[in-house]
Formats: sequence, structure tokens, C-alpha cells
Amino acid sequence: MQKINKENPISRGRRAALPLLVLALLFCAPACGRAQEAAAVLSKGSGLYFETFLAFQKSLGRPIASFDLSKEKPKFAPDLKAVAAFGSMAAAFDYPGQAKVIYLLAPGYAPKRAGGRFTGISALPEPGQAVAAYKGLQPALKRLAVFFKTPSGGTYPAELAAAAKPLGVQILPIGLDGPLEFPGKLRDLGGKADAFWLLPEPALINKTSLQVLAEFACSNKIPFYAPSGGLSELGAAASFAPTFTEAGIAAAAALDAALAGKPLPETIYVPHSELTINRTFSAKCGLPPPGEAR
Amino acid sequence: MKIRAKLLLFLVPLLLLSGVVINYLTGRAVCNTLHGETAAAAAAGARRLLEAAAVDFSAPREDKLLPFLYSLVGDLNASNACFADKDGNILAHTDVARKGKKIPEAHAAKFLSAAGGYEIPVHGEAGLMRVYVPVNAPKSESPEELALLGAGTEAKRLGTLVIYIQLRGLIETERYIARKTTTILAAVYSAILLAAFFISGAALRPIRRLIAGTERIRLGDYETMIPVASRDEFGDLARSFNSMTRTLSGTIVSKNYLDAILDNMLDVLVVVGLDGRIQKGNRAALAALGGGSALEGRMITDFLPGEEEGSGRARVQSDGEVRDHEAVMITGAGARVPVLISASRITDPDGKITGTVVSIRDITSIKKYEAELARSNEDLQRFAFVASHDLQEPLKTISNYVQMLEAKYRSVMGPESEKHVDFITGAVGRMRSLIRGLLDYSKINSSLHLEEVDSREALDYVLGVLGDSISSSGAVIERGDLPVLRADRCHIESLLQNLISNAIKFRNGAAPRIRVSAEKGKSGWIFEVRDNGAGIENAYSAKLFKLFGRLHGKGVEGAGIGLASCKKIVEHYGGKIWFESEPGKGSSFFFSIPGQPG
Repeated sequence: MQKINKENPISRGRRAALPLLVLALLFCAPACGRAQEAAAVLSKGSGLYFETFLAFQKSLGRPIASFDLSKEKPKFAPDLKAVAAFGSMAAAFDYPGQAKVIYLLAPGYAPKRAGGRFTGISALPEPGQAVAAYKGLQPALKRLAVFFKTPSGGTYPAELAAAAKPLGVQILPIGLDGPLEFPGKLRDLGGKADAFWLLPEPALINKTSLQVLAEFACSNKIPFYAPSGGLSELGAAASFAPTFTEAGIAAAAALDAALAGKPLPETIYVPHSELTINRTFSAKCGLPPPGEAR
Repeated sequence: MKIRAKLLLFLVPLLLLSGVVINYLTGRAVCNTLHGETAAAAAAGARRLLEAAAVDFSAPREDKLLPFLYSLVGDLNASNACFADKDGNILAHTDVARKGKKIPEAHAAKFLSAAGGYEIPVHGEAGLMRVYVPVNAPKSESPEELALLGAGTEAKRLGTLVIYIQLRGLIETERYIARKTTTILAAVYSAILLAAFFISGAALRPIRRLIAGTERIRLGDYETMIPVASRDEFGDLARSFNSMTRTLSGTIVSKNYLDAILDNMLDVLVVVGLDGRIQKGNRAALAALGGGSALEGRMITDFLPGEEEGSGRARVQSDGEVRDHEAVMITGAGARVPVLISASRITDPDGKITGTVVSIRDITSIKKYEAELARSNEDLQRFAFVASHDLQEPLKTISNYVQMLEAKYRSVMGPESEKHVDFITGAVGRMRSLIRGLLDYSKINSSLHLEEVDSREALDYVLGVLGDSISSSGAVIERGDLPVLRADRCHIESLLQNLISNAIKFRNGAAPRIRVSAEKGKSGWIFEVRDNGAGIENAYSAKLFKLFGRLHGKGVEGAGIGLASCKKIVEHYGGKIWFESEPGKGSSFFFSIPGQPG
């Protein structure tokens, strides 16, 4: 598995574990001063949420009140202005009405109430970068099928199609209600696509669906691009997705902007995503070796 | 090429061939075993998963079957898997694109087999093994149904699981085993070749010793012996070699000995091949015939020109040998010398004639001495003849004048004077007899007048001459078979006369009884004159045939020339004369006349 752009955030987190342990103590320490204006809520105080939080905290550069939603119900200060929500559960929490919510690590989440209060750090790569990355891997790429969950696909397929057009790539958006539709959709796809990409939709991802996609790609010699680097290891030619570290950094920047009273868009794409290439899968399935990363 | 190299050259192709065959057969066996085992393991794994799975194959749905199939693929490390109904329609496939397709009819036999099975359409790294696992409906018979129907009820077939297993792994395993087999075979064959190399070296050691021994013999070391270290054929060979060496050593020593003798011979000795060419000659031959060049290869007739058609060669061919054959030899310097040739055939151990060994003796000096001797004898004969002839005349004068004196003065001579005159007359008579005998003796060497002589007629003549003596002595003469000879009649008559007169003369009181006979012997006729006279002491045998050799006193007349004359005559013919006698019982005188026609 080849990682491009960024180091493995987990490895880096382990190296920085000792100094950041101090930060971890902040979960138990009372918030003070300006820190009361912002808070961080984690769906779970471990795993990718915590690692992303560490990157967020480091990028923020100051202590912030944080809560593990799986263990406690958060108690916010009355003057809370902004909150960073890590995960869908945290994003869906009922925050005080004046607080600006910046959510991340919630790929299937869509705010119930639209408006300027919610800003998502997208789990998807910036569309132009994504198409450029896949074009770089597969120069002959002309038609890219994109699987997404309906109706939560949002505007991303359209943005992707717009970004792909200048690069000579046609986006074939394929919406699915559930993972059971994969076999049928894939059979319908036939020879219409040069590659297919599954967006990070938790509702579509299970073991069987990934196996169906991987086996279809392998048997029909069509590269399958996975939603994330981790999933590409399960059987995909490559993946292009934001790293948790970049998402944490982007969230910290958004939080600072919110505290400063600046307006925020509904969706923020992280500036840099990571390209992961699974050459073993390509070789096993007889796929053309992925080109060099651009 | 050395034996060891030949052995290795013989072994290497055999080993390579056997290696290829073993590798091929092993590969086939491994391949079949691996395929069977893999298929069996896959089928067993599939059946185990089928039992544990909660999938309803009687109402198959793709979304329900796919997790099972993926699980199956994952567990069995298969490439793909699918489930098809009894008609071969694929109801679910890990490659979802293949759903709805049909298993080809060509696979129906294995596909529908109740026991399942496997097949490999294409063998290769990209090939797939298809393992067919029948899927039957679980039996739901009640104990009562089981009791009535038994266990042999046929299960209801719902379909078939088809598991696709990549052959790449199997082929890698096959190749690994093939490499291992090849490595083991290479090691074993290397060991065999090494063993063959060293064993052949050890086995050939006696041969190398034999070669070294032969080389030493070639260089002249005839004492070489090879150690006998084994009881096998090599041991026998070494023993034979040692035996041969001992024999050869003795032969070589003998040869050197003989060469030394031959080279120190004064006579010329050459070995001539059947083609008449000289094969070998001694030092004397090289000196006499070589003239500074080698003799080998030259024709013997170049040196003995008279023998090209000569009697010597003919006698060798007829009798196998010739002894003291006189011939003329041309030396290397071109001189002609008289020689005596002795020759005999050489035969090999099988009796086949391989050549002739010729010994040539230079008799130049002998010829010279013979000529001198002949001239001396001739002078002597001439002297004896002249002396005896010339002495007779004065003796005759003396005798006449003595007789005249006796006649004229007999009346006046006293008895004493008469006695003296008798002495003189007797002496003159004896002297005349002596001179006559000497004259006859000297005439013997004169030239022969050979003619056909009937010895019976010669005996008749002698008996006539000796008629008075015979009648006076009362002798009885008997005769046996007497031959016709080619000789000088005078000689035969002289021989018979001397021997018969002696027999009459030396009688033993009684009347002589004399028998004359002859027998044909190996070397000619042998005559015998036997009497019943006084006999002769053996001690006188050496003196008997010498000139003037008398065994009696003056009372018996004779000059001692008769038997000497006989001996001279017989030797003149190449014969011998001898006697057998016992005093008082008579004597037998024998003489031989060789070279007579049969």
C-alpha cells in the first residue's frame, strides 16, 4: 500500500503521544478563559475521533473544552460560540442555539436544519483534485462511475462532473438506496465505465458490498477506487481521500474563523488529500499498474 | 579416450535421461496428487461451510448467497465461486456480472455428478480449477420415514456450488517440488558420478600399475613386479603379468646369452625368411657380408649365387636341413670364398616354417691346407714309387750276382760261406718283397678306374692267384652273397687277396676255414672275411693296420704292408676296416665300401 502526500497520521500520532497526553488531560480539566467560547465533542474518545482531535487541538494551539459523547453528556458554557463535532453522533447533538457547529468525520451526516449554523469538513476530496488524481493514475480514464447514496449525495456529484469535464472525464453518477443494489447496478454498468468510485457513504459500505465491488473490478478488469485509504486495503486499486489530520486542521481553522465571527460555507474541502495505491490488488487482478502520482 | 572418461560419458547421458524421466513422472504424480488434494480440500471446506451456513438454497437469492460465496472464497482462498441450479443457470456469482449465465453443457457430467468432482479446462498459471460441490436439500425424514425408507433415499438436488481455484499456487508448489526433486536428483547423480569417478579410479589402479610396469619393461627393467592386491580379474591379470615378466626376464637373459654366443662365433650365421631375405645376422655375418651396410632385407642369394638353384637349398627343402654343403660365397667386398653351409628350418611353436637359419663357415684355409697336403702326398707317392722302382734294379743285380757267385763257387765254399750266401739271398728276397709291397701301397692313391666290379669274379680271381697256398694249407673257402660294386677292380681284388692270404697264413694248426660274405648296410656294402685261425689279441688292434705293423717274427713271411694297404684302399672309398677276434678261435675282418648304388 502506497501512501502519497501525507504521512500516516496514526504513526505520527503515536510518536507525539507523550506530549499530547498532556492535552488529553484537558478532557478532565475545567475549561477557563476564552476556551469556554468553544468546545469539542467527540462521538467517541478513542480511535480516529481522538486522533483527529489531537491534530485539531495541535492546530488550534490552545486548550479547548472537550467531551466524549459516549461517556457523558456535554455541559456547555452559556457563552458558547462554536463547537467542533467529531463524528455523526456528535454532529447530530443538540447544541445551544447560538453555537456555530463545525462537524467532521461524518460522511453520511446531513444537518436537519439548513442554514449558516452548520459547516461540514467534507470527508470527500476536493472534486477537481479527485478527478485529477484518478486521471493521473489512469490516463485513459474517460468515464468514471461514482456510487453514492441517494438522496444524500448532495451536490458533490454535480461538482465532480463540473470539475471532471475540463479533464475530459465523464462522471456517471449512480445512486443507490442500499448495498443490495450493487450487483444489479454493476451488471447494468456493463462496459460503460472505465473505473468506478464509491463515495464514503456508510450506508453503502459493508463487507459484502466491498467484496462485490472488488470482485467485479477484479473479474472485469475495471479499477475500483475506494472511499478511503483503509478501505482500499480491502480490495481496491486506489483511493483518494482526505486524511484525518487534514480534516482536524481544517476544523481548527474553521473554528477560529467562527469565533472570529467570519462566515463559513456549508462544506469545506480539506486542501490536501491522500492518494493510496494498492498495487497488490492491481497485480492480483491483472489490472494495469496505476500510474505515478501527480 | 581413457576408460574413466568413457565410463563418465556413458553414465552422464543415462543419468540425464533417467533424471528427465524421473522428473517428468514425479511431476505428473505430484500434479495429479496436488490437484486431487486441492479439489478434495476445497470440496470438504465447501461442505463444512454449507452445513454451517444459514442460506436457503431451496429459494436462492443473490443477496443471501453472495455473503456465503464470498465467505467461501475467502476461506478456501479461491478465485471465485458461484451457485448454479440443476440446469446450470448461475444464480449467484462472486463476480456479480456473471449472474444469469449458464454453465456450459461440456461441464455437465462433472457438474451434475452426485459425488461432485473437479476439472481443469486449461492448465497454466492463468488457469482455474473448477471444483463442483453438489448442494442437496437437507433430509427431513422422520424416524418413521427413515425406518420405512432406509438411509438410501436419494437426496433432492438443489444445485451445485462451483468453486474456482487459481492454479498459480498449485503450479508454484509443483515447481517447488520439481525444483526440490531436481536438486535431490542432481545431488544424487553428482554423488553417483563422483563415486563412479573415484571407484573407476580405484578399479583402474591395477591397470595403471600394469601400464607403469609395461613401461618399465620397455625401458629394460625386466625385474618389474606388480603387487597382487585382489583376487578378482585384476589380481589374475597382475599375476599373469608377473609370470610373464619372469618368463620374459629369463627369455631376455637367454637371448642376451645367445646373442653373445652368436656374435662371438667366427662362422657367419644368418636367419633367412621364407622370401629369401635376410632377417638377422650375427657380427661375423655383418663383417663378412655387410660391407659396411645392414644385412637385413637383402637376399641370401646375393651372397650365395650358386645356391639360387643349388642342391643345398633343395636339400633344405626336402630334408629340412643340410650339413657341410660346400659352396662359394661372395663377400661384401666382392671376394669369392669357399664355404661350408649348414642350414636348417626354423619353425614356430605351431610347427609352421618361418625361415631358415644358415651357418656359413669359411674354409679358405682348409682348402689351402688340403691342396698342400695333396701336393705333399703326391710328392711322397712319387718318391715312394720312384724309390721302390729304382731300388728294384740294383737289388735285382745283387740277387743275380749272388746267384752267379753261389753257382760258381758253391764247390769251394764251406758250409759257413754257403750259410752266408743264403742269408744274403733271403735278405734280398725280403727286400724285394718289401719294395714290391711299398710300390703297391704307393700306387693306391693313384687315380681310380671305376667300373662295375662283380665281387664274386674278384674272389674267383684271388682264389686262383692263391691256389697254391690254398691247396698246400688245405684251406676251405666258403662264399656268401657277394655284390656288384662300382669300384677299381684291382682294389677289390687286393682287399680280398690280403685278407684271405692272412687267414691262410695265420692258421691255427688245423686247415683254414674261410668264409667271404657281404651285407648291405646303411652306408654301403659291408664285407666280412671270417676264419678259424689263431686269432688276434685285442691289445694289437691299434698296431694292426699301421704300415710295417707286424705282429709276428721273421718265421712268418710278410712285410706288414698288407693290412695298411687295405686300410688305405677302404678309406680311399670313404669306408672303414675293422676286425673282431678272439685268440685261438679265429678272426673276422670287416670292411665297408660306401656310396654304392642300391
